[in-house]
Amino acid sequence: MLELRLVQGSLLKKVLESVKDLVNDANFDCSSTGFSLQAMDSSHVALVSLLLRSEGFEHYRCDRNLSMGMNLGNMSKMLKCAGNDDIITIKADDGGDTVTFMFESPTQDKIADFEMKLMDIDSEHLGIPDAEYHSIVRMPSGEFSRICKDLSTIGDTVVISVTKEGVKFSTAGDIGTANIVLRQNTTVDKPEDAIVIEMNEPVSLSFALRYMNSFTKATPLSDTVTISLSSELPVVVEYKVAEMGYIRYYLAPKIEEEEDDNKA
Amino acid sequence: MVVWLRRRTQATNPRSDLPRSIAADDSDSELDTVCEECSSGKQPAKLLLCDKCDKGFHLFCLRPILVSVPKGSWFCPSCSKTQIPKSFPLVQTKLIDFFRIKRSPGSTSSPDSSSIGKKRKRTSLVMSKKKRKLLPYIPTVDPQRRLEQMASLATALRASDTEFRNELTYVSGKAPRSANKAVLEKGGMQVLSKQDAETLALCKNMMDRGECPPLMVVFDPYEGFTVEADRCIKDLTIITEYVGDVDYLSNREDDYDGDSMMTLLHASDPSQCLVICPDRRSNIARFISGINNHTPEGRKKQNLKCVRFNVNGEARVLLVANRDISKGERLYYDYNGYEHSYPTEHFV
Repeated sequence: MLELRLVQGSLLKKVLESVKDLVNDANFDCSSTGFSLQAMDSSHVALVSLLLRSEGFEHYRCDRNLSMGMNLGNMSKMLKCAGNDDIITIKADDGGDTVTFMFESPTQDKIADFEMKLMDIDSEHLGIPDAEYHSIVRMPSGEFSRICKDLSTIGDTVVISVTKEGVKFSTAGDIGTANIVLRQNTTVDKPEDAIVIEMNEPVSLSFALRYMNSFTKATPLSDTVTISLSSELPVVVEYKVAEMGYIRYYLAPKIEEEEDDNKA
Repeated sequence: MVVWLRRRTQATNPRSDLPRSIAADDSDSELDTVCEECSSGKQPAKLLLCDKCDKGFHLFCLRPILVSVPKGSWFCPSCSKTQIPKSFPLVQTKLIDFFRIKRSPGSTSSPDSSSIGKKRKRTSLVMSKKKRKLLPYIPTVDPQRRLEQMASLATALRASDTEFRNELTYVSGKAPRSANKAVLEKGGMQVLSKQDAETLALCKNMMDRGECPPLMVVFDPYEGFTVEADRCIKDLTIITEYVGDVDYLSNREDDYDGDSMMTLLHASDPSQCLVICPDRRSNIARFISGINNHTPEGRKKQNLKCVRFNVNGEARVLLVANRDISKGERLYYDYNGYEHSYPTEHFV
């Protein structure tokens, strides 16, 4: 028996909007730790990892570990029917083949329930080791979203370089090139507007902008975004979900390919 | 007028039967030919000269990279008429190049494959026998998409001047069908079970009906033509049969054409060894890339195994998925993997 009650239902609505364009079908895994999801997009270049900790729910009951396969597009359609202030409850029976979403208005005068069929999804989880990243950049999420949108009008690949001068986002295309440099700035009125760059080693990597633009759909979830880079590793773009957890996107870089061994 | 005889490369090629006179009396600057790409004259044995403009190119500086000096005439990219499609210089890697798949959910990320091999116990071999059944491929549902897949193969075959055939061909001048006897295989060849043979026949029938395997041939600047899965493919699926003209290995020993030859029959008597030559007649198999089996990153890419079976007394080569493959993944197998027995080492 699974029953999760989330007072700030808008968080779940925003979470679905952040993932549904990247992944079509995925398994939501429920355990005593929390409600999580790990799925790759169809091209296996990007991965989204979501965690909503059990402590963040007003009521969290998860009798046994459960994996629920859902079509994220359909789940999003249902969640769109919830008001932004609604309390959302997710219910499922062990061994059942449906999941129920219940939306209660804050004044308790309107209650809606939506039932959705679960799917059988064969998914493999990737083991993501904890790593020390060469550079970590924390910046306003709106700024990052704007940069990705602007650069994608010029080119399709962004080169992110972190040096002691700051972080540079560059692209090149048919009409020309573009470079945007951000310098560390912690003297701001609001802490969420700060740009913090932690550089252990300089790093420069290339990424496809179309995935970055999918990741920035999570901007409504958090005022800040943390970008962790390491050469030889995928970049991690992380948005915190209001004291409850996080949504992390991993993106494989574009590299100069090494020679494949020739036929014998 | 040049005094010395024109050659494909600077250095001597011991197996070629072209006359060997090195330009001892050469007064031209031909000996100083450098590669147009890297401007170095190093490794002259691998420096190819364009038969039209005489410019030099290292085999490994060309895109796509050439394996060996082509037998016929060769023209550099500027002089050759074929338009190579423009592509991006950077290659998009996949997450699987960096992160390993967790064998069981909830466990920590798995260590490298050598320790997985050590954990293999007797019981898992029994389990693997149960799972042995080969699966037929599932073609793409949308007929329009299937047409696109077939078109991509047709383009690649046309570009390589190859005729499409979906079976091994036995032509005059090469090996006859009677030479293909699986019993000659050194150490014996595993027989394709009745059930698997029916699966293979099903795949052939599907192909005849236009239900081709869900594969797309794409052009990569480094690998040349290569093949991607166009829908998810389950482990143990028969992707295709490796076909071409069957010839004796002894006939082909001085064949330096870029195309590979696939071992068909590895007999104790070398004169009975057979190879498959996909240069004139072939199917999609000839475009599937090989892995770099000297690097661990190379081995990670492998998602197909090349397996030989005795089917009705004849040796046949099948390409079988050795793990679940997702849509968009490039297909790779180990060109140097000699499969005498059923590959079980990928079962844990």
